[in-house]
Amino acid sequence: MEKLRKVLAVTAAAAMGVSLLSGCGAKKGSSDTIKIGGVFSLTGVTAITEESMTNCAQLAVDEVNEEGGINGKKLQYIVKDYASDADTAVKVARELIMQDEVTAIVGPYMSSARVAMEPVMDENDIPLIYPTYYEGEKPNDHVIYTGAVPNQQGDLFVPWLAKNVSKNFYLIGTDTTYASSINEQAEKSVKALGGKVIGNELVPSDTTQFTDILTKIKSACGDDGCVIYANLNGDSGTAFYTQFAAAGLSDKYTIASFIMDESFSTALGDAAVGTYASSNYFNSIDTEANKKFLKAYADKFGEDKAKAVTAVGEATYDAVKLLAESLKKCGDDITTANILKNFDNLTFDAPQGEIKVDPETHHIYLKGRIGQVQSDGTIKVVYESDDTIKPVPVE
Amino acid sequence: MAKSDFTKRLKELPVNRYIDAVLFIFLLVFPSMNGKYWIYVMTGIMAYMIFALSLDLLWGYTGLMSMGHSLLFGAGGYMVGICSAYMNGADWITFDHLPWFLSPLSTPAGAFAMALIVPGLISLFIGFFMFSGRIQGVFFSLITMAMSGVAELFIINQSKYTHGNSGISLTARTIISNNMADHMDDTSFYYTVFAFLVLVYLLCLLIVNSRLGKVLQAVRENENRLTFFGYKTSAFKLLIYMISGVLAGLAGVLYARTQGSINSSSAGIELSTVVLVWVAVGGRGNLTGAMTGTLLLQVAETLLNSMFSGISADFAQYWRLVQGIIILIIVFFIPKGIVGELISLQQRKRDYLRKEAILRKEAEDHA
Repeated sequence: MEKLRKVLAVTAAAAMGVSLLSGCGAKKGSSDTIKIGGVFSLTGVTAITEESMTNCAQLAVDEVNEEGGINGKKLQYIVKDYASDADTAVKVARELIMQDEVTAIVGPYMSSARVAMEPVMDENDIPLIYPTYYEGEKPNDHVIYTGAVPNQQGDLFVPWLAKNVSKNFYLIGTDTTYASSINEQAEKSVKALGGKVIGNELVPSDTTQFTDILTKIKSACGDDGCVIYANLNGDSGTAFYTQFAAAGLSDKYTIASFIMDESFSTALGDAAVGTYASSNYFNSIDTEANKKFLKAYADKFGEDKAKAVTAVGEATYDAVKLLAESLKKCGDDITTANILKNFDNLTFDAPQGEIKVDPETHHIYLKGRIGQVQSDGTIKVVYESDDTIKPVPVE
Repeated sequence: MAKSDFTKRLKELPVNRYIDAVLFIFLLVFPSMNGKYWIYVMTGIMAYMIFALSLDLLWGYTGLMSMGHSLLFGAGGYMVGICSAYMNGADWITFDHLPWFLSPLSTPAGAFAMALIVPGLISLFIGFFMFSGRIQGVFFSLITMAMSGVAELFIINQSKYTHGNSGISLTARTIISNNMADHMDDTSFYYTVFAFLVLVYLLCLLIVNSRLGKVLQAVRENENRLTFFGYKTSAFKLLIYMISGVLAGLAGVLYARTQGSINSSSAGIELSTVVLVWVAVGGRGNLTGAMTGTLLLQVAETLLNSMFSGISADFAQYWRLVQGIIILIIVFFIPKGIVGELISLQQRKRDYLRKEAILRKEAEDHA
């Protein structure tokens, strides 16, 4: 034991010392490939969601290469794990740029990681394609946003609910910029429609006990129908749906939420059935492009995984496809300025339908959809906007 | 005579001071051997080393195992973060003027001062209640851990000033400025942080070798006996907790400036736990262990993540598992930590040599 310890202490010190010196060198790439970096969590709390995102990126890269690549050059996809941590996201983004010398980066999922990565993209002059629906911000020069912003999810959601479910709204959200701005907008449009806001509540992030709020909902809504407009994140959302159903409120009132998607509905089971969701993409969308996309995904990663592809996964697929189009337009002159410029007005026949990049905000024109959770966990589209909706990332 | 005296004293130095020298020389020449990416990585690691040193003063020397030390680290980082966002007019800022309690944050120098003062005051506040209430041992650890969890939520919920979950991006690689034009290149900033690390190390060395340091170690070994001797131990504990808080705040500033961003997890339980692991693996109560533990584990983390991602995306998720196993093996087989074990090896060897010398002398005398 003594000897073992002695040996271990010395070897541990020596081995780690050697690894310190050996690991630090830059890798050079060949010139007939174009490297695209992926910053996604392969470990950590958001890994379940981000697994489908990185798979979608890989799928899109493979498809581009099968179709002949970018003007004869192959795309190479390099993914790095940021472990659901914004500091690590900065580190791996810098690694991709400085060590792997990527042309562009796709990712991440978390808003905090995007905010942290933006200065890195600015400083090193590399484009970032951000494929997540989020709260909206003043567009950054180096970022192309392929997810929905609140106006694309909310503007049609509230009127539809008021018309088809109830004019009484009880708003509840996590106390974050995202949820509070969504609920603020909802309050305005409910009033404009002549509806009634019965309650408006923001709860701290880690709230998992909703007994008081459920009692309040019960007494405030009474026997009238009521839309419970709940935008709660993570564990808080799970707890709310479960306790709501357990209290027997789901017979009288209906939950509607931005946060609902296929992975969430599957995890919740019965508690989510009958509730409404608003998104630009649902797994069940009945288009040729979507069927082709899901089939290709299932062939590569398995049937079960294809069912878990949600709006963020599809948006990642679109992000890489749009990037490939932009790169093709660059010809031999692949520079960051050219890549970003070529995104303007770019269109793509995505699984969700045709999308277009808005040259002003570098966000995406897309269709809004409302879905209802079915008993098998899928979300059925019950309403779809006629045209694509202009993105308004900041008021 | 003077010279041989010097070499004799040099020979009597514990092994970890030699390691310190090697470490600092390594850090000094590191930028000349590496590219921009590794210079940046190492700058962040040096900021973390300062953080680990601040914990070592508290845990290693005084025996107060704070499981929520990142609360102070995050507080420092957020001070400069809010200042930078306010001065650069970030789009999420909805207020025209900072409230009175944050008013020093309207200048970068004020923010830097606040980044040291606020963590100092927080630790003074927490420490005052805990030490005067005679809260000790595991209860101290648990309460500090809870405080760290509360801090993380507090930051998320005060989104008006902190941008909530999303965190703040700030001007990178400056110390007292929020102007993008003033930011240093990677190497200059590396040496700035290096200078801070050396200063903090020297300060820590001064503290632990002073009479204060001896009292702190006595608190760790037997607080009751020290009280019996008439020492007011709570005052000493409060003092070191405050010093440690200020240094943690400094580390938070340097780390935020390296990253160019700060977010709520910097004040959270995860970082608080991770820094304990760095100090435990390196060995506590000798300063060297805190620094080497941080360096080795952080470099290992960076390399493992990079290597595993390089193989394939499916494989990438296992890097944390490997990291965990390495840490477990070290903590299980060398509970004193790497440097701690090396010091006691040296100690045993010296004891053995001394005993042998005495025996030899006795044998000669008899002869």
